[in-house]
Amino acid sequence: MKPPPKLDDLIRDMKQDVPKPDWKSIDDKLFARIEREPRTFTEDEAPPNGRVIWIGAALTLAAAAAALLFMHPSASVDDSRAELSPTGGALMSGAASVHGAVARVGTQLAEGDRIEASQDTYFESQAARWVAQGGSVLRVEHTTSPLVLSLEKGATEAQVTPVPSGEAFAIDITASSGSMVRVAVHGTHLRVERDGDRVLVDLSEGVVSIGAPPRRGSTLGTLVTAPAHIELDARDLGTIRVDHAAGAVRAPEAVTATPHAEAETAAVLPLLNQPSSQSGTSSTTVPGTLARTQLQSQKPASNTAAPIIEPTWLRSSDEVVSALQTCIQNAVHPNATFSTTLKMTTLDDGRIQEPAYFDPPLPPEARDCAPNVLYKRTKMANSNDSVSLTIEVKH
Amino acid sequence: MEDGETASKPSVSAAPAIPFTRLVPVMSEESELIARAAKGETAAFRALYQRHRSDVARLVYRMLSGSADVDDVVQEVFVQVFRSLKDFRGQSKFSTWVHRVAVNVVLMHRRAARSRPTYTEELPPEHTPDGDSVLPDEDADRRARVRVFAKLLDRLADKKRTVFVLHEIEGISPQEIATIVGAPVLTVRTRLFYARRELEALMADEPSLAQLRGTFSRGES
Repeated sequence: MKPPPKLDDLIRDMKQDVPKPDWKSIDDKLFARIEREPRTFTEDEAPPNGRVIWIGAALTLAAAAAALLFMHPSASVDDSRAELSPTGGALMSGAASVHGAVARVGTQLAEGDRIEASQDTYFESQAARWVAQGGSVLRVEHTTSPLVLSLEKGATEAQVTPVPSGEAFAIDITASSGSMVRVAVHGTHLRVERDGDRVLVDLSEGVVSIGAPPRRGSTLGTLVTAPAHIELDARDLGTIRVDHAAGAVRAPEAVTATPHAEAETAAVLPLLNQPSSQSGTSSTTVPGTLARTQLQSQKPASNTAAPIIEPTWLRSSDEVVSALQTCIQNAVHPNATFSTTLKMTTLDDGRIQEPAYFDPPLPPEARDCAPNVLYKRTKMANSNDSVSLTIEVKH
Repeated sequence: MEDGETASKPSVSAAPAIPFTRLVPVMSEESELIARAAKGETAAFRALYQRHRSDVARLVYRMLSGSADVDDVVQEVFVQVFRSLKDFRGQSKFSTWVHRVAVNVVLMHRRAARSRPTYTEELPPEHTPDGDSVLPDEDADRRARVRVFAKLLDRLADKKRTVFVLHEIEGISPQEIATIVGAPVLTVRTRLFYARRELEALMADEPSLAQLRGTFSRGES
């Protein structure tokens, strides 16, 4: 009996496994695209550095949503039940007006809506959460994937969930010259600010593509990976400058209404699982919590929904598993069954060391909420520990 | 005149007297092709493409564990190469730079692919064997082993899988890999070490590989 194959045997096997691409097909398609390239970039022909165009097979694109307005820091429980539109987006908290009329929590955005945020205003759609910074003016250009917002003034920060279909969230900036720049979000956390024609993008997670808006399909432009601080003049894509130094990137802010309201969170979190029976606690809710709870309650929670024991922090494996089950359950197809193993290590203070690994990887829809659960809501009781957890979702 | 200017700037005159020799770069054929392609000359780009496409296809194929998307990704790699040619400064070998582009495109593709909800196991497509020197059974065994191994490779983290494929399968040196992945050589070596260790552990736990052991033995006998 001969010994089983060793790693080197398998490596040798793999070396012999040579691909046989369909070169004719590749050649035809490639050069057809190449022929189209000059037309795409003629307008921004400028400094060579401005043309670094990476478009990877980044289909993990993100998506998101729409726009608008809001409410004051005293939202009610009903606010937390604002319906999430798969295409538009709902105002979760803040203060803004749409077309000059005061928008309320739950206001759904539609194409053409022009949002003027008088204070930081949070919106949430199926694929993204975003905040219109106070004083900002945005317009909803397109609500189905990709959700496209036009930033007329101010800044917006977004947490975008990558989607398989392509860019799901994009921010357009029309320069004074009339030319347009698109920041297409492949995921996952970015902030875009404009000051006249000057555009600042801080990408703390994921990938963006910056270029001229395409008539259709993906944005062909400079592909930038996080961390990155990007500056450009909207009149000239060739002026783009990218700084990958972590220190140059503006610290990301949680795209939720009041991320620090831990005391209030304690009273509100139970609503996640029992929204109808807890309505009497509305006076204790705060908008910030609402945004977060809304995410987790988009669909009816199952009987395995996260049992929140302490305000904010998940401290046991069971709590983490439950929270992740809820997260995944809310994200994936209703009929899907999913099972994965999470491997994570806790730090001195009980927080989870990044990155934690899911094997198999999470469905894309869950890749937004899972990091929130792990890295922002979890402080395990056991520090400096490696844990392997099985998470199963059955509908 | 020049002397006078120098004299008025003592700090400059104190600098080592290194003659300013204008270096006239001697362009290799490939450098010339790169320069022409960067200006948008399709014929030059086609020549570069012909030179490097096989290497890229092989790397993509192995990094994607034999996925059916290889052709599309290879195409995307060269589109990115074309678009980014102006940024190639010649600070590394062109082939290294192309590998870097390929690795980035593959990683982005994988990230995108992961975003496709897949609840059933997708087996890599059957690969047509060369059939030159191996018997059908032998080749079938080998392909079966490769499929299993590809599955194991797929379970490695991107960074580890990348350096593993580049080094162990593509035979690229750690130094060059460091340039490709933008990490210190020591980091590359560390990733290689842990990639091998993880793969060996995965092999030990892989039931389908256990079945193939017999197959492998027969194949060797």
